[in-house]
Amino acid sequence: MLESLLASIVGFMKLQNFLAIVGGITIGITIGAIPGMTATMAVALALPLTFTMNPTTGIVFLLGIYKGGIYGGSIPAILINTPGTPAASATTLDGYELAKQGKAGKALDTAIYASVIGDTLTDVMLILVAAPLASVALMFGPPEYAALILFSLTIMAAVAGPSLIKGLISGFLGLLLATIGQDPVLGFPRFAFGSVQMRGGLNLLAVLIGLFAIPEIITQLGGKRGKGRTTLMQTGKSPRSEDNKLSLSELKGLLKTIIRGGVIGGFIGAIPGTGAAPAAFISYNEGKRFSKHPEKFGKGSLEGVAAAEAGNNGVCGATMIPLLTLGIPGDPITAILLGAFMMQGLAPGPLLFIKHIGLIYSIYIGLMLCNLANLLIAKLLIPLYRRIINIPKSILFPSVFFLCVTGVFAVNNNIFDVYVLLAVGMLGFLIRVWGIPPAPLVITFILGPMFEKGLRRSLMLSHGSFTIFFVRPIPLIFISLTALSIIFIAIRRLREQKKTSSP
Amino acid sequence: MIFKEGKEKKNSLIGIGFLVFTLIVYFALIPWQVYVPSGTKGTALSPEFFPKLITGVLALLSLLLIFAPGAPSKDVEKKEKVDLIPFRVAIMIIFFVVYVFILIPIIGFLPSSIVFLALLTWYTGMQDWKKIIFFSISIPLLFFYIFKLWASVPFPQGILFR
Repeated sequence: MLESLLASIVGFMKLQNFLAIVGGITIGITIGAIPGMTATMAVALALPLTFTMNPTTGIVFLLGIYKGGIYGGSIPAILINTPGTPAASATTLDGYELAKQGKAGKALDTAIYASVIGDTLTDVMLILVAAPLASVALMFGPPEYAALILFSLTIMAAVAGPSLIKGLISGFLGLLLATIGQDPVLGFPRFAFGSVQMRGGLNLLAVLIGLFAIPEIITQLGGKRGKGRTTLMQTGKSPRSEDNKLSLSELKGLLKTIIRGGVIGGFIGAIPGTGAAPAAFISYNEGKRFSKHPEKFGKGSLEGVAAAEAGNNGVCGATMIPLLTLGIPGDPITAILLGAFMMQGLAPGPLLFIKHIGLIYSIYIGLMLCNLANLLIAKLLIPLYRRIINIPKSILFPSVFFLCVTGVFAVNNNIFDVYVLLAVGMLGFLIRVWGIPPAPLVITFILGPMFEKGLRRSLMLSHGSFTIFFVRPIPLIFISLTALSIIFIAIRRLREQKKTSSP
Repeated sequence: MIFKEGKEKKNSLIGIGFLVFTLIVYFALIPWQVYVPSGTKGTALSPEFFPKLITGVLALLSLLLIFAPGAPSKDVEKKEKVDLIPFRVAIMIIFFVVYVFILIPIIGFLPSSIVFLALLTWYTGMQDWKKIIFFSISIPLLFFYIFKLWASVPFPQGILFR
């Protein structure tokens, strides 16, 4: 084993591999920072470029884009309240609040450190416990999935804001929007109104950008301060140097949250069919639950940014677990990576560990070096990206709207998605005016179809009986956790209500 | 008493709006737009099972908002106060709708984006025409070619230039 490892290290030390890492990370961060362009899209677009590369260089190049892309989404999420990728949706909750307080630099620093630490943690997890973790995840059937998602849905309460009822309305509205399209079990159309495009459901990116970016653009340009050469200076560089970077003591204080987020991302990522966006929200929720200052979440909490970013980047290493050990892609990006392996004549799975152990070690080395490159390149690029804050609003926000339209159109080359973007944007603006938070809607829109599929398939298995969730150990654990979580939330809300009502 | 003062009255009205919406979805849209195969009606297998469950809960939450709107904290009051001018908001929305539904289908993606950016940049206060022309041409051109050349995205050409 040691011989193979040493041979792999020596074999990896080629200029082309380092160039692939640097190029991949730079492309990934840049594309991730463009609202509308996802890490998945970036990896898919770069796939043809790897045809002429050797397997190690090609795979490492794509991994660099993957990691950089997931991190890059946090940049516009923090600076302009527009998640560059769906995975960065949770980052907007506190990142943009920090930016508005003049702490954009601190938020961006937190995002990169949390991303890199969370990512490294799950890469180590991949190296150490790949096979056993994948086998646990593979034990998940429909009841286990449904119970896990049900537990995740308690997140709604964490991001509901001051009014729990309004937060829940937003969450259930998201679940309702997610039912548009095809029924996930039988495939019959729902709320399609005879339209072929509606049968495909609402595009996830159009919904995310519509809810976060369009209301922000309308508010910025339609407000009293929208006119003229005003810039977002309040979100730019603060005159106080401590607001522009994260101190070592602050980083130390965030380590627990980051490690927790990384572990959550690692576990979620190892379950096929989940993804970085749910991982970020679940990590955010747990970050709030364990925080000494949960009241700061949603108002500009560094812990909030750290939890979300560690959670979403933590997925990167973990999604490789089922891919490498069993040949099962956990999300769309690893499905593309599976394609990259196959185009190189390699079949991921247990045999890969026997026949091509050298390549496996090279991938491990590449993953670790990608994390280092992600940190260094992001630190170099952050000042460049932060300058967009100094662009006058009258140029910045119309351009952001143009980018949203371009990005959403480019996902499926479909103008219908742009109509969805606009319609959801109007809905997002209305609910903002009504004081209904958009975050629960986004979470349930992502988790809803998974929950419905798991719930209905479980009920099919049990012939309509809900006892199926109580006779199997894993669902029982998650349902107990859900119940405990609801009790915990109710007690906390009652306490808060008492506090506000007392003079 | 349903209607109370200020914020609570606003919440009650929002609750009534959502209740009407959920009733329409439950009694009109679901029977009309959700196809239920024979033998599945009323079971978890039915495609209408989940939408009905959600709208049921939404109706309940709307009722809660009507009858127990709750007193928002001072924090919320501050946060919800958006500094908007309704006329400007309406103009913004008209800009977006005209761009997406009229300009793009008629003159195509690139020309319409240039026109849209130039007009909106000017309307929102940029007076320097050199800057307006520079930004409204360079940004669409840059991203148009990034997406077109690298990702081969077939942007709409518009009925005039097809």
